[in-house]
Amino acid sequence: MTALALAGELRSYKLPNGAKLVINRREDTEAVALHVWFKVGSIYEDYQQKGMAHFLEHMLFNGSEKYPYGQIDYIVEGLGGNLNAGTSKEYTFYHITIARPYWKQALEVLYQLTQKPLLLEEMVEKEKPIVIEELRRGKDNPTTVLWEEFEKLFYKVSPYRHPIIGYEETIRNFTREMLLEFYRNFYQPRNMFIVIVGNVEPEEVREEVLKTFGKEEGKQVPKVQILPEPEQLENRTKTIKDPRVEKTYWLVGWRAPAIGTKEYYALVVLDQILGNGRTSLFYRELREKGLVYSVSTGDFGRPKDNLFFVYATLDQEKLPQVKEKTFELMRSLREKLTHEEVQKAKERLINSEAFALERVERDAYYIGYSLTVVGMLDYYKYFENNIRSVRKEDVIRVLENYLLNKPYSEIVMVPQK
Amino acid sequence: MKYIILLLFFLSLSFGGAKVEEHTLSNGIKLIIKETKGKGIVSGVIFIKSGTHGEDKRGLTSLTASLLTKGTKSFDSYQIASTFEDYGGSIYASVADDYVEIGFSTKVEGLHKALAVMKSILTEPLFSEQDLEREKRNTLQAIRSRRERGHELAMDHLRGLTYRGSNYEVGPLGLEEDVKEIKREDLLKRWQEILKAENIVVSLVGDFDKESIMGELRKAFEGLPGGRYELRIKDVPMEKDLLERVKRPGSQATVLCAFDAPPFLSEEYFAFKVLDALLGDGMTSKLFKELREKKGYAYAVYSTYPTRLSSPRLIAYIGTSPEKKEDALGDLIKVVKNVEITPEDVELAKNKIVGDFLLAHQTRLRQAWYLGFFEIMGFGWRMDEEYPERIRSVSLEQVKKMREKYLKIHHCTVVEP
Repeated sequence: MTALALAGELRSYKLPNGAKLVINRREDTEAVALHVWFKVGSIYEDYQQKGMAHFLEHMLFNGSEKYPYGQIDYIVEGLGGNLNAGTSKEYTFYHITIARPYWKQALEVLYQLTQKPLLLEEMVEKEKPIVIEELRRGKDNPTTVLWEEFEKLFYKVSPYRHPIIGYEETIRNFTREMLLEFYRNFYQPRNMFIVIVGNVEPEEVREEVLKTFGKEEGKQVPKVQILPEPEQLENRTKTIKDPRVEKTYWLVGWRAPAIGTKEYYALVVLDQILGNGRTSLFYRELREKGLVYSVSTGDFGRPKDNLFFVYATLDQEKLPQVKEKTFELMRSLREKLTHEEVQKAKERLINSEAFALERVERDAYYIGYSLTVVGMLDYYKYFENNIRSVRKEDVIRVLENYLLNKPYSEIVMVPQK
Repeated sequence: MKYIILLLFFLSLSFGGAKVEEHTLSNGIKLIIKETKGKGIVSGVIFIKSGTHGEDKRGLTSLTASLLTKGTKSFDSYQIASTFEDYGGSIYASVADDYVEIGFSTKVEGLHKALAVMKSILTEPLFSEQDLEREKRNTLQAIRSRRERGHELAMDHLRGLTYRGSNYEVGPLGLEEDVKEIKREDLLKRWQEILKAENIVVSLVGDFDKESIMGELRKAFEGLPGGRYELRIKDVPMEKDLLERVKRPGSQATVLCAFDAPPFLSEEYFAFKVLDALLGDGMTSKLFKELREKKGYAYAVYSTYPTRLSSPRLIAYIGTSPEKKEDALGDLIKVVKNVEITPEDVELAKNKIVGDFLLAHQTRLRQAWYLGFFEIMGFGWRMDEEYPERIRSVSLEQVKKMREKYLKIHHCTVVEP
């Protein structure tokens, strides 16, 4: 998660029950995005619960106190809105994008969906084959397998090593009681962030939120110990042969500064220089020189044990050359990187915000991510300033301290002929 | 279902809200411009009616388009990319079955340079031997890589099955054996053949002052060659049910079926769009309710009615476990052909289409795309304004009539382990 900007008029509230509410009033749009985020994802699960955060997300669509199973979909789609949800390793969120006149109905839907679900036994059983189909669908795609294997190699202790969707054997054993316990622990006001972006009157929104989400009682959120990943001492390599792939996939990663830290902004600029867009170094030197079919870089935006990766697709016989060239390009950056290039990368990042924020749901996502995962709205508010303050030396320091002088983990997926 | 009436409010809202202007340049190019208010950003799409029609080597147009942004007589690849990326924007060129599309985003202050680059891309592309060889290798790999994913493999086979004898038989990437044979002269010839002013629509949406950019637009596009590239359109009607099975290792079976549908430039188009949405768009759709929620066959199931110049089809998809595939296939056909349709279903489908359509207009790039798309396909750009109302006015009887008249024949592809 990179590009952010402070657009519109931002208001932040803490409700008496502990829930946080952020409203970004924007007059440039007729769409309203309503998001409800919970600080819970797959890293909060113990082994028996693997896949539960995601399963619960499915279950919330299976009926609430006010709206029987299926009705919520009819309401939102009937109003021409989009309702969806997502589960990650750190968070789960539910969101609606809808035309301005209907934001109140949408808020009520999200309230019922997240705070008044029935979680019926029969629905748990109905949902299991659907989620297992989703899991198998993922396994059917070689790139999903690639990324799962990558995290499994990269993280040896941290719960980041498990896939969000869980495992067939854990999913099959879920019971209503297990789900209820997980739900009660995490789906409550003190673990909740409500974000609304659009041309709305903040005071009116606040009142409406108090009448819905504000009624729920805030309780202590159980502290889950998320094991930190120990330092990696040497390079790790794993090769996977897959009969379905036609080309070689190379994915290499390093530990990276946590999102929101000072060093993180230098990493974002480095990422822009190395692999973001067609003006980036890797695109020019690897893709345009015909060494790879595609190349990109990025980080996982994690609050701890973050990772930075380089991802390329290529012909198997070119891998040694590509690997050598990739490292050589990074090494030579220490001497060759100019102030102008850093300045240009910063400008590109900052300028791209205006495009990212054209969609209200994107804006709401950035705010929700800042609150829930980074743990501070300042990340959203001051992103641009923080990027502006990155200097060439900061970029080189991150390059040296995190990438060049540290061990990496790499996955190579090759065609099985 | 009182809430449905509310949607009428929605129709009076528009994103961006500005008036659209149409100009025809002296060479015959259609220019559509829309002035918006915002943070000083602009997006544009140039459509060239052509696509894969009339290709003698399959994949020629796609390869030609892929080289457009790789260098011209005045700008190299990096200069082209940086013209847009420096302002946080981007540029792309791609090919669909019926048109070539070149889209871009930039800041208004970068528009002058952007138009100079666009002009150069259109009038003096380099098509260098070196770039051609590299992009050929990329294209060949991209064609082979479609076998990596069940859905893409199934789609390619379905094309071969249902569009046999028309240009849609092969996807825009083309055939390996043809791409290998493509020479620089082929690209030059193809580009010269399709770059005809009467086949071109330029659509521009942004925070500019209309009056002040007209001169620049003329300068950029008025020099393009006049005349027309005539498309030899061949319609291939569906005659009898067909089923093809394809083997691929994996954890899922992919089922894709094509059904007969009405031609796009007819009154029936809108009623059929509603029928398609009712059958396979979103969580309230029949396929979702019956095949996912009731039967638990799948995580993902949908239908789509792609807008193509000829050989209209409705295409339905389900991804399921291998042991469920026969039931899933049978029930998918049954739902599409026989499921009961109520007045509520029709209202809901209409609201869903209109809501999605309007929400999709949040970005200037999508706004420009829709205006240009409607124009190039022959509806006229005004359809962008009229579309919601055309959908709204569809009746239950019309939808039922569509079902009686079409969806009689199916062509199915099953990719299975």
